[in-house]
Amino acid sequence: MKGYIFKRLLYLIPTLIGASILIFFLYSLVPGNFVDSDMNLTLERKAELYALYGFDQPVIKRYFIWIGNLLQGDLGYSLQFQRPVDEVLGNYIWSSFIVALASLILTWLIAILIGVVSAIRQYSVFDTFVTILVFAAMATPSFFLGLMIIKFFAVDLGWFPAGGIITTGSNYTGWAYYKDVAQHLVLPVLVLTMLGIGGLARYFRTNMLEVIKQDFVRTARAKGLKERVVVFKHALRNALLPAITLFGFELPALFSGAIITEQIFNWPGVGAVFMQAFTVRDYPLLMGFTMFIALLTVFSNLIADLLYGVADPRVRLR
Amino acid sequence: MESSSVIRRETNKVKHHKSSSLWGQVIQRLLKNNVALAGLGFLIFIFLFSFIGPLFSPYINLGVDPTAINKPPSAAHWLGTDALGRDVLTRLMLAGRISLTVGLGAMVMSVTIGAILGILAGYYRGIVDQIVMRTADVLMTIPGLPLLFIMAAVMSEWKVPTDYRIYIVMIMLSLVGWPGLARLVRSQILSLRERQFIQATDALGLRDRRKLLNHLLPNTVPLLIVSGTLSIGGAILSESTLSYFGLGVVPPSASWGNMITAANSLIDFQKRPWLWIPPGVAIFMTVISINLLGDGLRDAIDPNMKRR
Repeated sequence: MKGYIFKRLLYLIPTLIGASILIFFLYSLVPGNFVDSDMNLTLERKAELYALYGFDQPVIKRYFIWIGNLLQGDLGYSLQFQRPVDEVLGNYIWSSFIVALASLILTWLIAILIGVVSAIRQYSVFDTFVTILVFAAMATPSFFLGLMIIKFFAVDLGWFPAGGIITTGSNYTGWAYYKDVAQHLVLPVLVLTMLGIGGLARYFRTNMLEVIKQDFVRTARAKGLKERVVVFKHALRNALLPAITLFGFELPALFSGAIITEQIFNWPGVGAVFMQAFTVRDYPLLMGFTMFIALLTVFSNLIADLLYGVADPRVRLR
Repeated sequence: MESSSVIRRETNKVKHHKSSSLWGQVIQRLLKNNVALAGLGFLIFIFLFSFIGPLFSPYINLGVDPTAINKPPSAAHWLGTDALGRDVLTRLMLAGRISLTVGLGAMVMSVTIGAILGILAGYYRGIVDQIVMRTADVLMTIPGLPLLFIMAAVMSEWKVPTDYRIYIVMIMLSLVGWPGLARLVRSQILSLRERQFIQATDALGLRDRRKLLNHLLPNTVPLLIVSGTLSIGGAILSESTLSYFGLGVVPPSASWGNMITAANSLIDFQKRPWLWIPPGVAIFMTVISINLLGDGLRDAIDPNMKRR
């Protein structure tokens, strides 16, 4: 096991180097930069800023400067915010995290429930209905779902605010503040939950269908256990176990921000900041953020693989 | 009486026997799947709607009409008109042409790249495998949307005419789409190459080209058909997202995604839902049909294949 982890960690190094090269050179191919986007600058000032930000250096040299700083834990300096990138990300990541966490919890709870019920009542009306909903959720573009939800719940019914994180111009404190944020949270969380539930519910349904056919479930029934105990205690546990690997894959999503949903709901998270940084070509922020996500993805894949071995000891990790 | 029914039964049997080639069976199983057929039916409809439909539209050559701006749906304009007085229904058909073409084109390209690289990596292993799969790994560590945004920005610099933008979008989508497919194909090839029929080709001393094209490739076709079908839906969704953010197909070419940008204006969003809801519904119905058909194909091709 230790040897396996060590080997996997070694394998991460070329992948991450590859990712850093790809990220850096792709961004360096993107036309325009932060300095050029400001029309009011004189040519001398531009040259000065070019020198200050190191834009006048050759690409290869800039890559090594960037990667050198990265290895020392320095993600760079955001041009647009005039602050270190890690500080900017730190400021925005938590609002993304709240949305992601709330929808993650909701998604899993509802998906498990739906999966279990439609598995034990396979081909029932409920099962068919759920299957249709699942397909519907997987076929809707996220931005369109967001727009429809805003139109329906915020514009037509007026139940929830259409966007932002707090009511503009308000300065609530204490409970009133939390309540305000919670109200703004509802619709983005609803969208992310609706989008995520489909695949997961199907996954649990399949797992549950497999488990329910096994002998130990028949034994549990034969012992005269109540159906509820059989399903939720004996069967569900075994159906849940393989899903912990999926949990590993969900990890990056908790911090990466939902670019589209945050943009639609004007939610001040890292996803929205990414889009904003993209329009003004704030490369240090863009590269730092993308590299951060790549790092998270790589590690969460490793965690998922390790968890897979924990969930099913028959899987040998070598 | 009786003998005729026996004969009929016999002929049925013969018929059944005749069509029970592998693909005959697949088609038979698919024909029994009403849900998949409904998906197929809608897809045929949407193709006719998009490619033949505009020929019947009285507004096809009219284009901009300053006398009919922002009209709500009526008998003359079933889905109303937009800010330039263009008929929304006609635009929806033309947009369908582009969105469907992009979806199909991106699928063909990513399946081709994914299949070729996957087969080469799985068959030759060693250094080829390392290069292909590490590249795929790297591409998969970067989240799809930022990657698409970057590529879109880079490629807009090439100043391609808007008519050709759709090919750029196809290339982008297939660059993001191939790694997953290559992985699937590679793992299939890794298990196939240990099977006896491949050992037999070794023993016969067949050339690599024949082994790969005549013996390995046909065995990945079922996998390619299923994941290819499902990837069309994904490509249409990605195209609509990119176009919505102004990075995919750009006006004056219409795609379902860029028609929804109408929702970005507050007045259109609140007061003129006919501008942006129909294209959204079109995307939704098309993708759901593709997924249902793909799912049906998977069940028909290999009933034991694990559903996910």
